[in-house]
Amino acid sequence: MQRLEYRPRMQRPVCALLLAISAGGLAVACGGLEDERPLCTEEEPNDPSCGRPLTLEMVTLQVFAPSCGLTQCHSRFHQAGGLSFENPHDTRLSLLTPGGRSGPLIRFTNEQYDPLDPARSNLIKWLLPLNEVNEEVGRMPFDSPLPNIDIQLLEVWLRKAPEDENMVPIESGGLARGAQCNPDLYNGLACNDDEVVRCNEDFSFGEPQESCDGRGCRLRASGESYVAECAP
Amino acid sequence: MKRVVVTLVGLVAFVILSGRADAYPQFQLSRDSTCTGCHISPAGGGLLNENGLNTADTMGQLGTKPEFMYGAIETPEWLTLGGDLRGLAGYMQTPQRYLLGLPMQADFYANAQKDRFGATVTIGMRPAQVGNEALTRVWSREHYLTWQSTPGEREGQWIRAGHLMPVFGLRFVEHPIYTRRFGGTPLMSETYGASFSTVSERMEIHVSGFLKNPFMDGVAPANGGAVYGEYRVGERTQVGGGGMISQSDWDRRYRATVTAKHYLPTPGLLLQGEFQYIFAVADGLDDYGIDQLVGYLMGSYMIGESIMIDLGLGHYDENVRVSKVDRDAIDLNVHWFATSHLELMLVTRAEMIGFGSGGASSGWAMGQLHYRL
Repeated sequence: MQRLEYRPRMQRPVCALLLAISAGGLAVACGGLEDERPLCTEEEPNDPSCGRPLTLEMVTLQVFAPSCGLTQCHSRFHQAGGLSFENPHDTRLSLLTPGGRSGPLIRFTNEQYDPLDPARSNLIKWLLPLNEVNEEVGRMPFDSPLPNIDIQLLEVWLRKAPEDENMVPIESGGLARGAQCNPDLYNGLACNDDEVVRCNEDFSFGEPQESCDGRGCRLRASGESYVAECAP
Repeated sequence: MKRVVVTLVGLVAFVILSGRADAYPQFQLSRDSTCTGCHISPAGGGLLNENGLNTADTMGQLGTKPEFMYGAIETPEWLTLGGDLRGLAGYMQTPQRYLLGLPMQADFYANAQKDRFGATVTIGMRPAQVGNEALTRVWSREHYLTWQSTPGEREGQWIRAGHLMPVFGLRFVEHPIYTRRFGGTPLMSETYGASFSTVSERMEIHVSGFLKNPFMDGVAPANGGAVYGEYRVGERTQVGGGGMISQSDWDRRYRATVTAKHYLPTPGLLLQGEFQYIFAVADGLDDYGIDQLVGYLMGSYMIGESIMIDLGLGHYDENVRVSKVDRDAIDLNVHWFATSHLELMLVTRAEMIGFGSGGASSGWAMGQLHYRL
């Protein structure tokens, strides 16, 4: 999380401008005034979700739509880069579907995205100040950065994404298979319809380990990992 | 020290600041009491009426005929033509640094009026939808029919039906202004609907109903309604308020707004502000509703007849229950009305998140050219 505390050099020119406009309260605002408020008024003050449901709908309506889904950006109206973040349906497609310049923004394979390490996803990389060659180019949103707390919210949400039925990977280009069955994650087990199965090295479903007898298979958070198991 | 990167973006069509011209709320009370004093539309914006042309003539520093194409193209009395062209170039730091140059607007207007009935059409460029470019480079932002109780007058009742923007709030030109960007009237959010307006010197009320566009992907598609009214307390003060409900396929939003304007003849300063409360609910949020606040205060000062300075303060809190997600902006815009057709602007913004402790600060300084046909 350290990189999220990046303090851009923008501060000084901004302050110069602000001071020129108003030397009073705005100078205080720029002068390093620390915001001592708790992160939220809920019971867990250090949780970036602050009681917000960790669902596709929440991150879309709270973060993606107002900041990314603007008319001339990633709205359905324009779809810059072939992406739309205006509503939960479009957000899901834009995050999971291969396309655009950088491929899917989150790809459920251990080559690019591990739910336990969401910072490796292209989505989070696009939102941070420095790109892969350490240049301040390309950060999104283009005209107005996201609050740090919202980036952290997205990371927390990505950790939970495998549990969100709305984020079931989209079958496309063979990429989603890895999300559903990764031998390096969850003890190499995954859900395949109504069965717990072992994952093969090529991310394909392997031998069934347990039949759920119609109860359904699910991924459940367990400590720092997830386990594939039959629903009770 | 990290390498400083300045990226030249030669001609980026329709990105961040692309826009359209609306009314100038800065002129209300200081120039005229109602939008209809200068505009054909009861909501303001677009084509100017005769008084609006005279105002443009008065404000232009260098004298030119204010009529469409300087009067070189004569139109019959029942037909009014016009247009707006805008472009912008400048510097943006968010915090990566860019030099930008981009076209913003190319809209052409026509209004035909016969007695109490009229038809208005706007044809212009828009950001093309990726993958559907051939059909979406040009569109009609507005096309609606009008019935007007007192043709040619600034007071009366209007009924409009067609593709138009619901009337809500102060209706600033600059769509990056928070109350437009995060409020209920984002850029190009015109859609099909109907609107009733009653306008008098003392007060005006606008009632709008709207539907999501059934023919194309619109901006923020939703069904809903809006009510907005303004009451003028004397010649120099105005208060307003309204509400909007919109229901999309994904969420339902409730908006309430209050507005106020006050003009100080000495020193010639117009103060205006708008404050909106937004509440959003949706499936998938469980019982959690998103409470948001967005507000904007602006002071406008005229230097002579031709230079206007706007200083604005914006505040947007995307969730009032979470700290350090609120953002504040300071806008300083300088308008020079060079002629009755040409406006040159310097637009600047500095923006902070959580008073500088919630994320990267950003800003821009750009020159804008606006040519009215």
